[in-house]
Amino acid sequence: MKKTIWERYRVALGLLILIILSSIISPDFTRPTNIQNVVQRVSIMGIMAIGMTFVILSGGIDLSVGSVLAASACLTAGAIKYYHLPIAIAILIGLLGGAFFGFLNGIFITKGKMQPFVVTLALMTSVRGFAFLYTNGQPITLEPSEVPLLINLGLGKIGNFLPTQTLIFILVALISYILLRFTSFGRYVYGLGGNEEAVRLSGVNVERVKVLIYTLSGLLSGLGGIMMVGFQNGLANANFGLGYELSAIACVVIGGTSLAGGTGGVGNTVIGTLIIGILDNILNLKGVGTYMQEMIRGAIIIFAVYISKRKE
Amino acid sequence: MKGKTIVWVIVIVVVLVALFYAFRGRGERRATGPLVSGGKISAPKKKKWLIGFSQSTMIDPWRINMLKQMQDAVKEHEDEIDFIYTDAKNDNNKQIADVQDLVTRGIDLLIISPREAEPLTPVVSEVYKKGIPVITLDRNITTSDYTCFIGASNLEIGRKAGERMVKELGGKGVVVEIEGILGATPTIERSKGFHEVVDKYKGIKVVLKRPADYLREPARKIMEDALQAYKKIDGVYAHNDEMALGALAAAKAVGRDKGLVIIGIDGQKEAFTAIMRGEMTATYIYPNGSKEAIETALKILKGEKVPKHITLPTVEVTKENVNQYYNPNAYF
Repeated sequence: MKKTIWERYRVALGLLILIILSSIISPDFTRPTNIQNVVQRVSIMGIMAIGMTFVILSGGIDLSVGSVLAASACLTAGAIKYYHLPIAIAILIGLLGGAFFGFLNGIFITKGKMQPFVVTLALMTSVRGFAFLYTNGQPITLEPSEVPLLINLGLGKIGNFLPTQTLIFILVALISYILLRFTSFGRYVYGLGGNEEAVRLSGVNVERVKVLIYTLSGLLSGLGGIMMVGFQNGLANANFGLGYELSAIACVVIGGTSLAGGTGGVGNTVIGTLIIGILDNILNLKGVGTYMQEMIRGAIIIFAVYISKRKE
Repeated sequence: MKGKTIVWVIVIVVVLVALFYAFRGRGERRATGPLVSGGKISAPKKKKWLIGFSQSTMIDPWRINMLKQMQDAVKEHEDEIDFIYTDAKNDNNKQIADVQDLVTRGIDLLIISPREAEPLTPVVSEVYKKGIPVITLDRNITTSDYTCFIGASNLEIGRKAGERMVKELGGKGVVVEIEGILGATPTIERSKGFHEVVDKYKGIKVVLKRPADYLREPARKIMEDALQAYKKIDGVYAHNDEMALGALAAAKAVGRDKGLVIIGIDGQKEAFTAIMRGEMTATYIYPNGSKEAIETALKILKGEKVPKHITLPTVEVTKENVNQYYNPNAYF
């Protein structure tokens, strides 16, 4: 399967063109603080979208990510507020909670032999319900000075320069890239999206790989939720992340990963996430009205996906 | 291999072009004093202030109206101010980003109606500490890092609504309370004021208290369920008119709106009409403060002193006085 250079790099070129256009039309765009702001605010979505990338590459879909994000945020904040556990333990609980919900997705899909769309849609409502139940519908507020580690995850800047969120995003992207490119797990993920039967016939435990994929997606959404508690200055709310599943899918697809599975990767998703983040930023900087913004955003998504489809 | 080299060349060229434009842009921005072009000094432009407004959401009519009236107030001072706004779409994360973007844009003053207090406090504090004046509108932040807060007293409105409910029911009855966004200051205060009054009366029982996020449809569903669960409901206290109208629709659908006391807040045109028809009992005009915000902003920018808190007056509207306040041409 040989690809022309254009095909291989057009999404990256799209991002570059967007960056150039943005810096031309708004002098504020390239200011260091603005760049810092943008790379910080795309991080949580980017991390969720990376989890989604594994799922979509394998030919599946995960609609529960926004709810899992909210549940993990509430689990972590609740562990501190209700049970007075140390911050590190609370963060671990949030991560494990996220992974557990993802694991449930995987189990229902493989053992229950149900469609990923249906299973994750069901978990989307159930997990959201759990978050509301756990918090009794009330937002949990933590005193920022009492949870420095958590606040730093969301609002901190390393050396007053690199936002902690962005560092975590970069680390997650690197690890995921290595997983996908250089491990047998990664090969199976691509294989499942390409031809599931072939992977099964070659003696791979397909079920286990799938469960792992959804668990990973849940874990990363959970991580996003914990970071969001920090970013929102110690607030956790069961209504966090409403509609984020669609944004995460958009980041993956705009990056050029096929919804049919099998082609794409983490690099694509990082680019897709940046495209959406920069688009939101530049529309704000130009003071474009809110209703107009919605229209433009939709049009650009159509355009981007069309461009990346054309040669196929 | 050759293909890759070409790509890298393209990438490098593109980055260089980007940097060139970036710095050119910054140069322009930093240029001060009259610009010299073609040997002629161009006329110095009169300095206009740039005011940025961060709105928490634009899906409820009260907030859309807030923006529209603010834009009207800006028009009256067109020669002095430029105005931009952002819409956070009910998402704290988006509002944090919006405030950062407004600052990047170079605003001289920030007006913000925060969606929730805690998450917005750090970013607003940061803006204030940079020396940019901040007006918090309708909802406040948790620290005192703002120049002026403008809002009505929700506690007072809640108390008045409570007194009205007690009076209408004669101190006895079953009441449903439909709340706004949980954890938001107006919700907490509108509820607190109401309960301060009605809880003193043993005969009044608030049997159901549910949030509908200030939206009509969720309120309608809550009321539908309440009508199923309780054979007798005498009063509805909704934290805004949208939700009161939702509750009214639910009661009407099953023919249980007769004699039902419905109290809302905000003073929406549709609520006035409902009061005229006798379908709603009362509402409280909750001023959005947009005109006051622009006027206060101008005072601050001109260096005049303004109070830290401006409390806007509210009016109770019932069948007796509704004609005075109904304006068929109002946006809201």
